[in-house]
Amino acid sequence: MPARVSEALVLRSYPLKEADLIVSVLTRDQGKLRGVAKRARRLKSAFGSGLERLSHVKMSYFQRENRELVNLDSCELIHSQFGLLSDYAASVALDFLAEVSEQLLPAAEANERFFRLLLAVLDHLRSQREAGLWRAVTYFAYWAVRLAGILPELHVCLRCGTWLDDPESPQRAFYSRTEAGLYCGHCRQPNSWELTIESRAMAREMARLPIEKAAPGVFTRDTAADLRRYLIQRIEDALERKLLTAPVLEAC
Amino acid sequence: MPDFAEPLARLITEFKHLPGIGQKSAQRLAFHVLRAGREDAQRLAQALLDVKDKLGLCQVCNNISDSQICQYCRDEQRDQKMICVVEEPHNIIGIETTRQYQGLYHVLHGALSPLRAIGPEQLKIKSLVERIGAGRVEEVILATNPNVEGEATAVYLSKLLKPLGVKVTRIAMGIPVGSDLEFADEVTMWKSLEGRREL
Ligand SMILES: [Zn+2]
Repeated sequence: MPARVSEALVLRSYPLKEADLIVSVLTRDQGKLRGVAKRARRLKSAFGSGLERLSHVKMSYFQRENRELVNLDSCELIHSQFGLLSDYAASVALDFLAEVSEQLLPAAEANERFFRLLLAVLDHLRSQREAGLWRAVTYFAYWAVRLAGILPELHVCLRCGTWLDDPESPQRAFYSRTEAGLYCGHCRQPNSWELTIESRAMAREMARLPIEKAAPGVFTRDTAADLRRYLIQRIEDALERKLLTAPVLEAC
Repeated sequence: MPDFAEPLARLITEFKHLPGIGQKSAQRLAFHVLRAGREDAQRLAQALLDVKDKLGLCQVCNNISDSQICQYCRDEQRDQKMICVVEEPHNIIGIETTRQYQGLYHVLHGALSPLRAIGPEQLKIKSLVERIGAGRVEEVILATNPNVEGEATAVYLSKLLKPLGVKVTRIAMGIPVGSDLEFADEVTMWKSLEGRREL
């Protein structure tokens, strides 16, 4: 039973038997793993507060061949998100990050960029608090969709091929639940919503800039709400189920 | 699994559904019942059924009770100005064993958890607000679990209750008694410092 140590973010945990937990973690080097943390719910456990949702830890574990679950041995806390809990919306935002990561990422496939995305977004939330909340959620949603490989071409109309982002004459663009891409004003479908020119410009900015530089102005719940809704639809489409946390977050 | 006679196998399977009971313990319990007298078995079966048939929730605090109003809510000696809010009925027992708290309780039956689709409507929050609205309560102690969900629930409740004019307090979190500071992690240490008191 080889012992390993991986930098990891805790995504979710479920109680098992009297005092154990099944924990889903995203490791930097091994991707998403599930493991059993023995006696983790005891008052004096080897995990302390390290298994709380989105804790950034150094996780020691044993991986056995042909076993789906690893044995988590102990962890050392690098960063906790406990400080964010003084704001209920931030706490729901953490749930959203955890749910999307847990659902979207395949098991045991390293995805270092996704790992770094989560670290950057968490860092932004901790340093900007409430002021950074909606920027963090939107930036995360954009890159989660992109890194999962489900972000469609946003520059041309899906039907007629019109270039939507022509700097001379930018076109209005529309999306619907059933189709991944965008339509121009002529080809728009019934039951579609607009993805505004401003929100598409923000998506382009998020594509090339780190979170603290993308959309540096005031970012409220209404900022790029259409973009967030579009991205969440792409995620839900890929998962073939609704996200539990998305409506709670928007209602915060 | 060895071949047991059908009724015995069924009993073993039922015991195995209990928390913390594996195959071996389930067999031991089942053989114990088999050896015991019929009256003993009858009493066990009746006790199990009574728990399901005769218990309900207290109409005031949602604690488990065999009458409409539970023993704590009925007891007029208790401090009517204090309500301690807990996640589950069994949390009350932990607090009662200290014999330090003389106020009333309110059981939420869970904690807020968007990941588990548990929102404010799924918890007994409305009745808590109504109790406080009635005007006798001066302090609400939030004794939800010291984890992410318990803390989020406490934060949510404090925002909801403070405007009603009550004092809202949170139980202290930190170093467990009998442990060593050396092994406390960042969060535990920080929470202990935050909750420090003057001696
Ligand atoms: Zn009661």
